[in-house]
Amino acid sequence: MILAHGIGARADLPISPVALAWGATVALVISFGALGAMWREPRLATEAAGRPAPAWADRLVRWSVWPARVVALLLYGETLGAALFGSRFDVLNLSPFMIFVGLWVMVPMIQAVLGDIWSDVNPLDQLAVVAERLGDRLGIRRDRSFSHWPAVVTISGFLWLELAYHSPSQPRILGWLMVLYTAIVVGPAVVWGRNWSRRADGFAVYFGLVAHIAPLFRSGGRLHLRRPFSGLGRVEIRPGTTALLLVTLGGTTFDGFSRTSIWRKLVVERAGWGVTAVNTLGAAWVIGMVALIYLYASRRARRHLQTDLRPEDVFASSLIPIALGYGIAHYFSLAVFEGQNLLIRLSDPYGSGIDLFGTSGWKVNFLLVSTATIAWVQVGAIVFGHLAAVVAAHDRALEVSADVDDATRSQHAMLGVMVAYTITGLFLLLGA
Amino acid sequence: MTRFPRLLRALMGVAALALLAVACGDSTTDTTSPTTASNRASSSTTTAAVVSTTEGRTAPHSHHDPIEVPEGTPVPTLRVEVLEDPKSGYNLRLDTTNFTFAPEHVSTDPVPGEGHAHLYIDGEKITRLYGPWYNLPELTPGTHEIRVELSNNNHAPVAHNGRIIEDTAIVEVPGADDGSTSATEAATVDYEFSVEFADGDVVGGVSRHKVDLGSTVKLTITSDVADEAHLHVYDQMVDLEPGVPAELVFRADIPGVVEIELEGLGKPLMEFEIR
Repeated sequence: MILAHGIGARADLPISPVALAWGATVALVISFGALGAMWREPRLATEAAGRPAPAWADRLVRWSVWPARVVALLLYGETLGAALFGSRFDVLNLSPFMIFVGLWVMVPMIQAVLGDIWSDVNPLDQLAVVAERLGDRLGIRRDRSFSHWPAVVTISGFLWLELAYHSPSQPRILGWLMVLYTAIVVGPAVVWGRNWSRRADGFAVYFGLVAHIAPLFRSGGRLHLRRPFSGLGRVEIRPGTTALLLVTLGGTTFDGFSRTSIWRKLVVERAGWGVTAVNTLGAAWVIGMVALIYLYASRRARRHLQTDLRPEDVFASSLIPIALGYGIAHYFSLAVFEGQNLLIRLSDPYGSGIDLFGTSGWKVNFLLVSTATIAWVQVGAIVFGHLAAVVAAHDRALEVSADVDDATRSQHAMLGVMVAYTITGLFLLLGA
Repeated sequence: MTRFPRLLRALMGVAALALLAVACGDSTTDTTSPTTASNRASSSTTTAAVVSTTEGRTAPHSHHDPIEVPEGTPVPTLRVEVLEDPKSGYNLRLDTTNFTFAPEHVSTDPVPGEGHAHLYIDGEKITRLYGPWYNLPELTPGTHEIRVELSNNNHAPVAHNGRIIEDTAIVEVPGADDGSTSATEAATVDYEFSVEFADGDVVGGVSRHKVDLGSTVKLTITSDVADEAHLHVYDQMVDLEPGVPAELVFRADIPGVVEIELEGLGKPLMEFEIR
């Protein structure tokens, strides 16, 4: 993303054709290898049960939850305050860095390693607890359950702001949208409790899905360990979950696409809402294509399977590593470079010249990681995401099919989609 | 878990207080972005002591909220120049349009188009300026940032579109024992590009150029509108007058793809692929 005034203005170099060829080859080999060589009994769901982590680790996590909650609430307040009252100039304001870099880019990367920390510290969830209690006191609580469709709506709204709207980093706009988002997620919790907020908070839902990749998770209140990626065998898919993953994946794809010269020629002659309109159509089109390919393939795969699940939900978990791989490929350098700006802004959130933590005088070091490292991280993330997706889909197919042959047959179509996604992702890294 | 809400309320109180505390520091609208490395900005200079003007880009700070130039009133402009005094030291010259120095009305109600200016050296407020000329105090050897803000009679900065009207000049005061460095720094230019902006578009479209890491690039920009060209990441600026070619020189020492754009219009001019 390039936000106004050039937050994230440094774009990555196009990857070399050699790296592209390597990535594509590895992806194809993995895919065909998977058809023959993989296990013949479902394994992930069993692996996902994991084993208890050592007691000290469990205690460490227990003790750090409260301080982490406090910090998260303070950061939320600081971000909202900066957005509403700080400098109107985006690069001097904490809020765009916190929202687009800290929240949207860095949190999923952390979740993929450390597990679903967000569900513990999410400031909106903390506010929802208060709302819930308020509802109890007023006697208007009516618990009911919800699908993930509200989350699809809220995350789509965010992606529209990030990818389509012409002035996404304007602090005041961010401030009011933060208020609106909070109201949507927290407000109805007075009546419907956290059942609502947990299904309406698109960030929390997406971050929670990504956390299935991590080797750490909590079960029965205790910290557990499991093989990385095995959590993909136990993803709870609700109505809307698949849509949320497709929207996120499509959004990131559009972000890559919008950097190509083709797209930029379309946008360059427009300004203001004209840009917004073109980007909105483009994002909807790309998300639509990504979703269509997936829906088509999952319907074909379904013919070989015995399950009551809707076809698109069967393989939804395999979209998680692909979405994360895309995210890392597109935003790794942003996290490294603009992440430094985030630290700088934390010391001076309002752009008023104060220096809370002694970092406000820092300068971004654009040489922190080399361009070669960035390129290999990009290709690696996409290829590795592809590998994990293939494995997860294969395992799912075994779970819901009568025999290995059916499972393998069902995978032809799914492999087609994944190869399509992966090659697209790699080509977008050419960026030209 | 029963104490949860009470604790939480206490926490929110803390959060709110922290927020307020920070908010007080607040909200001058400012033009600023992280400091420009303007010593790189110009290789047009050959002698040691000089002066490249860039738009103001450091920490702001007056204690008043800026006042916007009212709709329909001509917008004042300001250019700061630092000239070497033939004998010793430096003289400051302010070139203003649509602005009258009115020391006789200072500290009274603001009147659009009149007022005075505030001088900051290296971020520190030095004095009020009641006219276009000022003799700068002795400057220590090294790089100094001379910033001037236009100010209303009541000392509130003059702003247009949320940006304070200000300008900054960088002065390199030669040290006792350095004479050599700056003179040799007038680097050779490795690449020269030019770009023309006319009728709302870049003539011939936005082009991308491959540039070797570490080389020096000179870009000549001609525009039919007054604006400011901004080279992202390197954070260098150059003011554009309609029809007057402006030069921007930078050392391509950060790898990646960067863009130079018309800051006001938000239109890209050219891209560099630096590796």
